[in-house]
Amino acid sequence: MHQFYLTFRSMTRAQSAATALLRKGIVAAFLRTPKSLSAQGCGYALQIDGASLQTAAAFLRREGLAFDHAFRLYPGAPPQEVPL
Amino acid sequence: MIYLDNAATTMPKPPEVYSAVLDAMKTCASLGRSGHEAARKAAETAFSCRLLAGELFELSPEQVVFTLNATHALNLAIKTIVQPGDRVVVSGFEHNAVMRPLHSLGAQAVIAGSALFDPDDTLTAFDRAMTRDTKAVICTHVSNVFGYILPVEELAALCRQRGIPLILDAAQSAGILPLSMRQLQAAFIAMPGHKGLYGPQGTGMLLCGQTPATLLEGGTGSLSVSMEMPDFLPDRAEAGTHNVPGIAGLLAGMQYLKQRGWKAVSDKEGALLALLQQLLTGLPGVRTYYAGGTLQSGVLSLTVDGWDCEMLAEQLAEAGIAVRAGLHCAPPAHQSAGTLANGTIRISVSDFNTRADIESFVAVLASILEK
Repeated sequence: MHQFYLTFRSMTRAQSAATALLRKGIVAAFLRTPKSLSAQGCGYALQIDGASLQTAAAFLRREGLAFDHAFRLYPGAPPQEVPL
Repeated sequence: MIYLDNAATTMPKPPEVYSAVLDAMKTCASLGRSGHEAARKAAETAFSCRLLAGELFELSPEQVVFTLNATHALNLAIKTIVQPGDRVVVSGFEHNAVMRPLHSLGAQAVIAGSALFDPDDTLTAFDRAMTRDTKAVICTHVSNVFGYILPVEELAALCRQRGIPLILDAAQSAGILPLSMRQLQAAFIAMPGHKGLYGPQGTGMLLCGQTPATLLEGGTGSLSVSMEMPDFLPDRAEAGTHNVPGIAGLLAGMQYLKQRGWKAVSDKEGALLALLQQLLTGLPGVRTYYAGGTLQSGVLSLTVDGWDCEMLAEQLAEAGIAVRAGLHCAPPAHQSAGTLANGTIRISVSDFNTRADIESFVAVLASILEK
């Protein structure tokens, strides 16, 4: 089962994004970015359902809450960046 | 004790503040460093605090930087904008939290406006002093000595017209007077958490209209591979472990204010000052600095003929009355009002003072003066 992650450099930005998404009815889990996704060291991510990914990404961009990258992660496989 | 030194720090705090601090000490770890429950709770507490500050002061949570106090916040702001030798225009009522960093930087501080309770004079003086080579305007919102409310909305408009960054010292106004980053469009607004916002000592905030320089460098829990501090807020200005219990208390203090309403607090404090002025009128040798209404907030200074202000404050303290005497770390304000040589006694109220507090203070003062 794969999972989607939107990554952020800033914890506060990730928290703002999670709060904004929740207002829109999209639940996103806030967590530390998996190490395999964070080349620059510590970061933060929102784990999000695949069905909501496109909507969430567009919404966050409109709200000025841009994320850095979107990834799809399969257990035991290298992460794949998702172009959005 | 009757506590009338709220301009130094408010006391008591709302009961919820004490319990929030204790709860945070028991349940919160370091925010932004781990994903476990205690770290997550710390992160949620800090974010809730930024979110509420953003709501109250009209800016995004990312623009809210936690500091140790207003002095820390002012140092960050000033040392971001002002370079050695720069011309900076300040009001005649500034605190040393502004004047000493400027002195340390070797900036040229030009004082504009020294007439007490005279916003027209203040604005005219700033208008004249804000020359093309002025690098910044720094102004207190409310004088910590006299409670004079400076015309910061008009001053902010003047700064915007001339393209000069404004640093606002909201040490005495945050939590009492309306304050909006969206409307003022200041470069920075500095405030303590432990005065009008009813948080614990050791808390403050810098509201950022631009990205600040760093005063400290260190761990932020972000971009750890880089040796540079992050270029984004709030991480850039928040190196090291946060004061999470303080932040939790500050959140509880702001929640109290949100529920109570700033106007209710402001009206109550104004009524207490008016009562104080009324009761002091006629006491022999007592001179008060009072304008009231929209010109004064939370603070009233007085002098008594033939009395050293510190010795009078000592006698008041012995009688269970807490006030502050001297220069209140604001020599320019005393220079402006003509009280630099002798200082003043400062009475400052909060939402937790009562009419009975004021009546008791005046009765005790009268009895001391009669001896």
